[in-house]
Amino acid sequence: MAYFLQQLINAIQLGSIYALIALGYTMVYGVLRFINFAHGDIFMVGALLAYFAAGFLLRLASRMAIPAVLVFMGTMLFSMAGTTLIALLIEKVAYRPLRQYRLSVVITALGMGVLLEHMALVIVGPWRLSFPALVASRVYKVAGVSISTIQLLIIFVSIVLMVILELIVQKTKQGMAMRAISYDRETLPLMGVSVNQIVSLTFSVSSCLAAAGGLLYGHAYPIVEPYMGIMVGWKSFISAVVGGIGSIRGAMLGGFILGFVEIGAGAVFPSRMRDLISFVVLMSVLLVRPTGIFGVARRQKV
Amino acid sequence: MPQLDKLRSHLAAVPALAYLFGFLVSSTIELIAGDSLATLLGLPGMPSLFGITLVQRELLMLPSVFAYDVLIYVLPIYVVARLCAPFIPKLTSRIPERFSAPFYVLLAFLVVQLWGGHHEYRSLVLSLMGVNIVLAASLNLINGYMGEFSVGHAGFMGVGAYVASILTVWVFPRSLGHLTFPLALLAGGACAGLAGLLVAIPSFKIRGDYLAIITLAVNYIIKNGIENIERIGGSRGFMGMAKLTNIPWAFVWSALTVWLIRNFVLSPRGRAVVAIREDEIAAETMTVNTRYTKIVAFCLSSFFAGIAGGLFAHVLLYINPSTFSLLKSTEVLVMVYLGGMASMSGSLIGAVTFTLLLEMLRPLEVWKWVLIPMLLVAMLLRRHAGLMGFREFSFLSPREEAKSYGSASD
Amino acid sequence: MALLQISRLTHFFGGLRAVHDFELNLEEGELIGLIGPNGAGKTTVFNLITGIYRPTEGTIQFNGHNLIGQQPHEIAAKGICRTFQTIRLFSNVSVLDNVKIAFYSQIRASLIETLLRAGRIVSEDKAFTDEAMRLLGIFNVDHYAHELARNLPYGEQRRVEIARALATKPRLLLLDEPAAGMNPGEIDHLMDLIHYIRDEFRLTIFLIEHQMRLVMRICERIKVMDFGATIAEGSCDHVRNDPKVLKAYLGEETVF
Repeated sequence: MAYFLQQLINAIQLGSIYALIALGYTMVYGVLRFINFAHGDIFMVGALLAYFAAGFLLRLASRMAIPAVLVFMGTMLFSMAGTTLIALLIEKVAYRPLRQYRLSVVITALGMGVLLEHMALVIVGPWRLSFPALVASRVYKVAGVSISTIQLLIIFVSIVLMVILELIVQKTKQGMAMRAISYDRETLPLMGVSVNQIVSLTFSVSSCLAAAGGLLYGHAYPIVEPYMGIMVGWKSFISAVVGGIGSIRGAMLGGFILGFVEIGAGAVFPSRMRDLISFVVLMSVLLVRPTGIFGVARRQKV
Repeated sequence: MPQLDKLRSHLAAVPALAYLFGFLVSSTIELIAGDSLATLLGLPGMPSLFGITLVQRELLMLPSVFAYDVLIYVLPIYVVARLCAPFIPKLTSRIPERFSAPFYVLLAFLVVQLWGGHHEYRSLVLSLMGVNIVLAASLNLINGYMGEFSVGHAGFMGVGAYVASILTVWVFPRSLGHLTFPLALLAGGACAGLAGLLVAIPSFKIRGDYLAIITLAVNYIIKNGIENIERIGGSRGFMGMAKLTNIPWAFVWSALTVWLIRNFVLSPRGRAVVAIREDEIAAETMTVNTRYTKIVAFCLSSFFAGIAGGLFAHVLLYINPSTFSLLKSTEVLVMVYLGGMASMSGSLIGAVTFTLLLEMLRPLEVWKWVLIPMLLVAMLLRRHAGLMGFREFSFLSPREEAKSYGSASD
Repeated sequence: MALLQISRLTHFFGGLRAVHDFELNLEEGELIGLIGPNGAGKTTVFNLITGIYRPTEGTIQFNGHNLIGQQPHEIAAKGICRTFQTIRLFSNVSVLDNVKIAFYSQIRASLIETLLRAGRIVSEDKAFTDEAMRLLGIFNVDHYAHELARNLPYGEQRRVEIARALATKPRLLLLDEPAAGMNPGEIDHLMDLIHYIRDEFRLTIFLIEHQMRLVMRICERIKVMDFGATIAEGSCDHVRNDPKVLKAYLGEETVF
């Protein structure tokens, strides 16, 4: 029983990270009908920026006695800001001009992902970095299950961010505009809403979530390297699709489902087959329900 | 830019055949005098790829490389081309229509063999170019002509590579090398073609972004599947292949692929593929059997990917599953979109350019993959469907409509 | 035996009943019309006949064959073809190719022959081209043959769509709002055209239309739908004076 609960916690932890990144995919897709294949690498950039911020702030903190919470938040804000800037740059230069040509913009996204990976290699050199712990790692034992503060941190922060996202999307004017675009992109400008602004906002939010995901991932799995975005990115992408791409609730659910599937598969099958099993399971879900769980089947009028 | 246009029209006034002859002469000159000239100019040896790599390593070599290129390539090609130009129309009129294409192909082969046959590195590059042409042409069938988004092409390449290698290393007697090579390749292609069903069947109900995921998953499942088979080396890879891929084989297979796919897409069955891209439901209502067409398209595409894999395995002589990952699929995607969607000419150009770029930019190492995406984006911004998107060179256009097909608007 | 026999045809989209107990007996050579307000379910009937949707209930018999459960391309090959309410040509394909694609079910050449461009495929391709040009010529759009379909003016696109449908050698032609967007002069031309192709190609024609000028003048029989149900049926005069029809269109009894 304890083993089961342990794995449950692990699954929730992994799932929250996947969910955060999946949200990024789903939001951009919902607004633009476009899969930003560079998103996984945005996540990597977030982790990288967080690494630098953390290093800097930790040194500052040791000299000026700043509480850990502030260091953490500072790192997160810096990482979010930097990642958002980069994502907006890519959007403006590469995606926006090609927006009307669906196939071209998707291949551009793939290219941008590759560019980000190798730009990181160029700037930082070949890197494989150890992420510093911003939170003192303590392990609590509850009912035979060990939970570490890091796991609690990840789950807590993810939930907070997801709640904030829900609030933004449901309660603000901009959030309403984001939802409106996903229903009908042509009419929205006629209502006085600038599509470009909403798109930029969507990219910003999605990058912030990815950056947070990177920061949290760095805490859970302290090795960060340039190609880390590929696997995590693709898996989160698939979670978003399984949950129903374009649906925020779907992305959250999909992320957690993937977390559970992966941890579950890892517990039963040899570890090298873990990824394979996850892929197969997800593919099966898609075959049964092609538009994902919460996905809206776009009914074509014949 | 008016000067550029003037230059372009000046060069275009001479028929392509003349340039081919020029290249023939140039390669002959290089064969005879290349080494001596290189030594004379202070170069370490005959520059492999026009000296581009050399210049990147040592900028001071630039004048010598420039001189070499002018003396061996630019001047002979230009001069011979201009000299030949007046005689070309008479020559082409004496070739019967049926033999026109084979004539050009043979000539191109002679040029390529002459230029690269004596040089090990060039042979390698040309072989890889052939592989890439097969990959790009076969992927273009799905992504360009059928309008889908397949991101898992490398998986089928892997199937073909492994099957062909296993056959030539463990099954076929080594002494029969070149005789059994086509059989091994075809077997690899057939297995890859069967694997194509894994994507074809879901494609009946699933389109667009969702199908992209299926192709991705299939790529990954194949790669992971191979990793888990210890008997053929698992993640350590497989080797022992003889270097059976050479310029003639690469040339033959790439020409064959382009020709077969071109025939297919221009035929009534091939037009059905395009109809599916444009409007699947309308196509169904116009008697097109979309399921059958999709199966044919996907399996044909993965078949050729398998052939490319087999060729690839027998030039690198070592394969492992991580070669056939998403990065490789992305490479093929870049070739297709850079060169032009729904265009065999585009796949040719894309594959040739990409292979050359990859080799010529080798000294740049990591910067290579920063520049190439930028180049891709720059190209797409100019022409959103790629350089030759939806258009063809006249030698690949359907005969009756060679003139008007070039006018497809973008 | 009637060419097309539809009985108790009913179709639900989730909880919405789009078509309710539709009945039809269509004899060979007839030219009948289906009218009704927007959303009445007319196009859905077409979609059910051509196999795009599988009806929740009911039977459709064509020439004695049951059509339910067949793939659309099989139904089309049996001899039913249609045009669409919104023109659905293959936009980035030439006009000639648009029509040639519809010859798919008539391809006899094998895949190998296709790949090698040898044998039957060459002669079939040529035959298809000639026939396609002939059809385009009838509709006076043959000079657009190598033009991309999306570049044509609207009226021309409609005609290409009909030409394409004829390429499938249909016995029954379903026209979905063929006169949409046309002015009275063009509608007169269209009427002549429909009569011409009905006689020339020995077709049975079933059309959906809103333009009463066209419907009343060429249809021999008319069915009227509203909210999925058939509310009137009969000759033009009968229907035009039926109070239920007037109510459905105009909301109250009015002199037509």
